[in-house]
Amino acid sequence: MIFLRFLLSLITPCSIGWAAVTLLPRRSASFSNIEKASLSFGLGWGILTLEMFYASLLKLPWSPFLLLLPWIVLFLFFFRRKKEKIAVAPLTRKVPLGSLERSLLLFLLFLFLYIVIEGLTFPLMYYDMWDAWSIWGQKAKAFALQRSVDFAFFTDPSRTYAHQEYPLLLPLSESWIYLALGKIDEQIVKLLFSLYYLCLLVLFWGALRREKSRQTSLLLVTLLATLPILLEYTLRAYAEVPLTFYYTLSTLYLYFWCKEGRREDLWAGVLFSAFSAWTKNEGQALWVINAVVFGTTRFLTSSSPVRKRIFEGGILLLPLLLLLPWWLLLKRLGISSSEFFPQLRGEILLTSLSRLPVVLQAFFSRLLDISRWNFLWIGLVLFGGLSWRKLFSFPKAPLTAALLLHLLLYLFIYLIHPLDVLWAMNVDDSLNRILLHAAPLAFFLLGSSLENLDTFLKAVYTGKRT
Amino acid sequence: MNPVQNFILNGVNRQRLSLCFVLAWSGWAVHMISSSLVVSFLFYPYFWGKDLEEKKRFLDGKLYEVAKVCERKIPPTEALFFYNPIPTEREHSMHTTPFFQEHDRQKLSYYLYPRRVYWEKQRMKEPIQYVLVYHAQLELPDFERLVALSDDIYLLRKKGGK
Repeated sequence: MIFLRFLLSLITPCSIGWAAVTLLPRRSASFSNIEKASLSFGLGWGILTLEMFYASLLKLPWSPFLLLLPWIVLFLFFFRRKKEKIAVAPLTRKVPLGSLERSLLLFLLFLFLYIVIEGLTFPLMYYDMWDAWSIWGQKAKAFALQRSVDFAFFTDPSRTYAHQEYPLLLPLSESWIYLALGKIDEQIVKLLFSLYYLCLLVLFWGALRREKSRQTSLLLVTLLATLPILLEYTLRAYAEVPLTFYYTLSTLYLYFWCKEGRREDLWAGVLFSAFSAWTKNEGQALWVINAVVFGTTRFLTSSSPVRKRIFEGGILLLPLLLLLPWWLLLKRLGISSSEFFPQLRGEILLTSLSRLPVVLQAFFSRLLDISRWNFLWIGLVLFGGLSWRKLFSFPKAPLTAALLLHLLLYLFIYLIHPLDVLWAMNVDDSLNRILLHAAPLAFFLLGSSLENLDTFLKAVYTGKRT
Repeated sequence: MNPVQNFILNGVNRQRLSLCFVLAWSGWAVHMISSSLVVSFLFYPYFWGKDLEEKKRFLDGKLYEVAKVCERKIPPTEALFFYNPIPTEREHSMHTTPFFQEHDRQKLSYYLYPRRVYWEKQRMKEPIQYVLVYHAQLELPDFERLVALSDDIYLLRKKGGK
């Protein structure tokens, strides 16, 4: 019964997401059905939680009908126009799955069942899931019991440990599930993270598929699925996995927009950027990096008229509009959205340079730890070094630049951290945790550098070894 | 191009290198996942077949019991001061005791929502009607014992309070 209620809780976000995916501007059917379902899941939670926040600001109730209403209207208004375009999408010939693909899919199914069972066995209240109940779970419980965003929560001096300034995508998603379940259930809610993990893999596969063969894409996505730190944080129910999901996909879709110029990639990338900023504060800085890197690349490489390029650049600023009410609320309540802004002063920046050796050493020792990262970073340096021309020339160059800037940003955060830097990097595995956000992107670049894997797998399938 | 570069950049060798990498990754992944499964199976017996309530009771033991009592005794609109000066430990955890001092404070606050839980006097912005003494001894002149769970765990209430 409780599983049924959990599934029912997915209906509203997935319907909203599906309407949004259907309404994305597109010239051809770029997404397969399984990708559309995963996109609906990701977009749906992002849109639904923003709507829940706006509804609370307007003192409106969180009723599924009310939250669905704008999408029903939009859908009815625009769908007739879209329908024709969808119908003319070319159909791809279906090739039966080979034995390697079947084995990989079985292994992925095993992994998914493992994280579902393990996730349901250990509830949120487990010792190693501190942030899961203390930060995200505390807000989720509060908002579910109040049936609204409780604005008094943000200034309550007894709840400062819950990081009142953190964005609300995850707490509001959990609140929605609690309301559908009719109770606070810190066990079932963990299924949300298993679904984020699954959807990340599906959409990552879809992204790889645009550059590689089906077999290679499936092989690479299976390798990513086994990344120890990704499995660990899916099970710990931290915001890292939703943020990794949104950030990875925003970057990949913006990369494909620069490369192929499809408008639906731009919209998907921009919406996912907004939701990464709505998941964690790091997401806000990552959105700025993506907007600058991909906006500049597109402006310089596109052959379309300047006015159109400027318009597209304007779309990249959409997250600013969507999250403005949240930032204004924090400002009105006198809460700083980041502890790092006061650190951006000349004298602090100069003195923080003395931390550089310590921070660099910590970064390298973490990245070389194969018990958490397998051979991800070692492989990226090795194969990226061999393919450096490819990684630093168009179209891969903006993706490489985004990843490097992302890592530099995190290095900088620790340099200017207001607390003791060693403590800050070690507390609750903080450094490894934030490096997870960049892991799928690093893996995408690594996959691009693994030369001739496609040729080899094709040869295996046709029986002709090279 | 020197012979080393020529060897590394040769297409067939690059393909072999890629395959070796994929095999190394896969081998290590199987090792890591099987190790995780072994650890999980060691812990599963403590959790399987138990409902959420029992799991919370298992994980937080006395603290959860205390939270349940406080939930019954303290109205949702009230605030509580949590006095736990000595860190206590858990039976089934590798964490150090200082970890549990802060852990217990925040977890009690989580369990008791919407009641406000303070553990630092400087943060308190309102008069306190209840004090929970946890693994310690504390007597306050204006407070009386409302309920005692043991000699060193008891709830105090302000005299004449609700």
